[in-house]
Amino acid sequence: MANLKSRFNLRDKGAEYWERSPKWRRVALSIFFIAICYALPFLNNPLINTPGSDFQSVLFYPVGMYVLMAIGLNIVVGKSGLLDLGYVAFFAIGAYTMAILGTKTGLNFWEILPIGVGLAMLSGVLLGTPTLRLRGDYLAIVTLGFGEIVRIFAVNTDSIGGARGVAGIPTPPDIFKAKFTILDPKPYYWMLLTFTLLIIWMVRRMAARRPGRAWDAIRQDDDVAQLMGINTRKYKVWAFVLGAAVAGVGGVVYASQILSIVPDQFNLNVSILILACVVFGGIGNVWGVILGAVLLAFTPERIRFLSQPRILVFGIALVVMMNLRPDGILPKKKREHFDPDWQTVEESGEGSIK
Amino acid sequence: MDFALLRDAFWGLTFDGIALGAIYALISLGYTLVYGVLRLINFAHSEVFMIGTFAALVAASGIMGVNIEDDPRTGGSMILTLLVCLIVAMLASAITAVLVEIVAYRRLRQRGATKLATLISAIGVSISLVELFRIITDSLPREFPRIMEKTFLFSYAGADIRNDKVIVIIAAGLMMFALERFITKSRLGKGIRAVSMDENTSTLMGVNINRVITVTFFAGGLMAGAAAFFYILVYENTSFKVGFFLGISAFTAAVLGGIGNLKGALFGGFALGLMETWTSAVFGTAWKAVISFIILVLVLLIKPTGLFGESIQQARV
Amino acid sequence: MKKNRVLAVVAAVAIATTSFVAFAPSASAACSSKLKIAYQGPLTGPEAALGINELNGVKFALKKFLAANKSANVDPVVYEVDDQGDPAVAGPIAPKVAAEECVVALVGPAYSGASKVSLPVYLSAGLPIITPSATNPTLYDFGKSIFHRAVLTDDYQGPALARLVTSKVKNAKVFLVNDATDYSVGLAKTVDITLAGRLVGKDTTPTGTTDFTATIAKIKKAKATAVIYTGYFSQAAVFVKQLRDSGSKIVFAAGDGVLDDQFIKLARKSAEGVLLSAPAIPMETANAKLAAEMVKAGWKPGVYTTESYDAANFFFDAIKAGNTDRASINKYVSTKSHKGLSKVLKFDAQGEVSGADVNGFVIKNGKIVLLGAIKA
Repeated sequence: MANLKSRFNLRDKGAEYWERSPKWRRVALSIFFIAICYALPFLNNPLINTPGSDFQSVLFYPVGMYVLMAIGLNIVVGKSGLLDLGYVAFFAIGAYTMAILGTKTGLNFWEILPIGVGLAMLSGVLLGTPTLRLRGDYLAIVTLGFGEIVRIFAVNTDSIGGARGVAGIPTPPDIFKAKFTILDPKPYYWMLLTFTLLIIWMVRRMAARRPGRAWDAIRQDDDVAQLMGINTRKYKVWAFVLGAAVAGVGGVVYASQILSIVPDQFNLNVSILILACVVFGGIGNVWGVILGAVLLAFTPERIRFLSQPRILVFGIALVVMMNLRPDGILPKKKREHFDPDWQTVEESGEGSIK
Repeated sequence: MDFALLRDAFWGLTFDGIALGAIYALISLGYTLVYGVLRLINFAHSEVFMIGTFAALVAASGIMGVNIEDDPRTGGSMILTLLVCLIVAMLASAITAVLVEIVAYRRLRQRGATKLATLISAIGVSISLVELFRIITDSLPREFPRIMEKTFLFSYAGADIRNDKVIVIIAAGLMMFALERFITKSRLGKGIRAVSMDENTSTLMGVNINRVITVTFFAGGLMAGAAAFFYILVYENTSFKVGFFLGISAFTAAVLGGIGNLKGALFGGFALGLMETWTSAVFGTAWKAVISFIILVLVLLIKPTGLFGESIQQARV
Repeated sequence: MKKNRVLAVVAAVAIATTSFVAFAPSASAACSSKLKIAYQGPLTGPEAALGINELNGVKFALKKFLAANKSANVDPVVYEVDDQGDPAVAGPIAPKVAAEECVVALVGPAYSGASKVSLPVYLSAGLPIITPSATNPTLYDFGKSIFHRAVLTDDYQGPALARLVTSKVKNAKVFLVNDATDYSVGLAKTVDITLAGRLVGKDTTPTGTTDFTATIAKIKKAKATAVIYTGYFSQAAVFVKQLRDSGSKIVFAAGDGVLDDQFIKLARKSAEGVLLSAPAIPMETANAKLAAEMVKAGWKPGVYTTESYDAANFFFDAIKAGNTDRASINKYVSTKSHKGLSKVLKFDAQGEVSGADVNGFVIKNGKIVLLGAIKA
């Protein structure tokens, strides 16, 4: 069984191929894939188009948006092992910043973007500093509560639109000839893709350096990491804040495209779906996470023709897939058994009772 | 803020809060039992509760032949109907819980999968069950016939004490007592406690892990089913969404008391029921979830493993 | 390794050839097959009940139209657009609907939030819409020339609901409860303004609230003689039941979100005497014979079934008059009028229906009884 699995590990095969490739081939491959991503809106392949919804719009939301958020949540859950069930809160904060500043001040998208990201990060610090000393499931419920609090606060506060939300959010100003309008999702998709690539690049740089190693250590054993002199609190808060920043970017971009937002869009289901993307694809591995997000965002749109049982099929697929591939579709390189906080490597590994 | 209301209607609010808390406590026992043994949040537990409400409904109309239009029953027929509904709800929930374990957990556990994988698997089961019932019920809520006339037994300091809520409080108390006896005295109960302390050693000592886990889910399901019946007796309606709302509250209650700790779940359930009712009166119903969570966070900041702590030694804290 | 590479090349070539061949068809192409009528609203998800009510109205109208006009070039299947009542879901769907050249008219969107996202897209595609139930007063700004609304907005309903209560209860002391949804808060606001001095208290009970204990305690403490609830029927049933079980007999009134037979089914005896207001009218009240026919055909009428039935029929009038494209159908519904079950549909420059009433209802012996138009 173990042999079979390692033979089927696509991730290892891919990584092996990548590592053996000369530099020119790596560059060529990267350019090729990035070009494909940018060209996606022009694809009209019967395999991948969406019969019930507009394919170009689907690429922006949910696909692109889920990918971005899943990469952000992966920093928190996958890299540093903190279970966050209230990730939608930071998305909401980004979106509301864009909505309120966009409608009430003359600031444009590019001026609001850093403010939105900053506010999301600030709330990440405010939530993270006191609560990150909690472990596993306790952190999960506290973050879940935070997500709900942000939504309930938005519903009950009339000065930010209350239950009606905010309408008439301005679109970003044109870049060269790319016009941002509700009718054409392509520029938004390209912008989102650019942000996503930048974030992937940053996360990969960071993962290979000190913070990445610190997160690895914290995830595998918090106590030992602390013993080894890592300021675990600091790195945990950093993971949290970076995750929040990514969701903040997503929120600002999303609000500028959808033009009107209501608090109920930012409910617990979004947090859970994004978490599902991360785990489904292969927690900790950015390519797996991307694949998971693409599949989970795209599948319900692709099978829209099923209408009624659509979500039911989605739920069953989730159970079946997790049973078949518990480490996700593209798991981390080494089959490392990490259980954020709860168990040590040996406890959950092959040593446990069958 | 309306503290005067809390003062004036204090006993009425408190009584209602305890009745609500009893339902929360029963559900949170299921979370805590499973957590104690598997160290997992059973995300599908809210749907175990939801199925219990529908089972009680089917029992009333299908087995006992109660029509929606009927007048409430009296005497022996009423007691029989109530008991049948209760037992059917408990069994339905318990069987569901056991099936959830087999479908969502067993294989993953045996392969030593990560907790997150198991969490997503449970979420998948939860989504599927909610959707299944949404399709079955046409997205509409369902009403439960009135089996027992609701009357006021007596008044105390302005609080009207209603019979159905008294029954809920007493019956829930009996359930919890029975569960406590089962866990502390019976052989299987001892098995559950053993596994919650150390799975490996328990196996070495001859405890059948699979059986213990099945029994744990079954017991948690029984409690959720009882909660489901009490819920539907008091509120007389249900829908496919009911698990979500009650589930979050019950889960909060379990964490508040210290998840994995039976006494904690009981205390957490009642505390949350009271807190929600009191804070709704003072701050308005819209803010009750916010206040509950703020209190939870404050408690966790002072006692990071809940009010009662985790009963089983959490060596790594 | 080599084998892998060959496979990869083959796969890449295959994808490339199938992919870039065809581009999305342009939206302006004429429809070459049967005309389609679309319905947009929540058909799955937690809000699906309302959407299904409306879809059934459209389906029934279509069935009757085709039975009467056998030669009509209209697809017998309604083009269903499921936005789940969620703007985020509506976002990617609306452009797809707009690009379906055979969809010449759309009944919906059911919800205001989803409308705000969808209407600008339909405006650019020239797709005429008649919404049977989105009552947010600002929607014209989003849809302009293609926007029509078969109901009165919240600006009319709220004051009417308040007047209904004050006319039935002498010196009413009103307690106002909303459920924190867009619709409910908006309606409560207009009720609030009209009631002015008669309001003795307010509370918000978010959707999903099961225990109304605290709210009921507040109502009792405020010594209110009437409660106005601006939410939807499923919560209203739970609320009114708990209110009655607590021993209170004060008047309970609600808006169109509660105008549904389901409410009576859920609240049963507690529903007796409940006052309702609605710019809508139940099918059973509007035309009992038609409602029975609809049930026989397999569709249950509910809230806004009548309005969506009317909206669909207005479009069928246009098609019957020989209009086969979006622009001419839009012109037809914008200028002509249609005598529907609920009211005469005649849209003003802002797409709003004029000369319509908000109706008052009371629940008596388990039936919704029309009290008539609520007077100003």
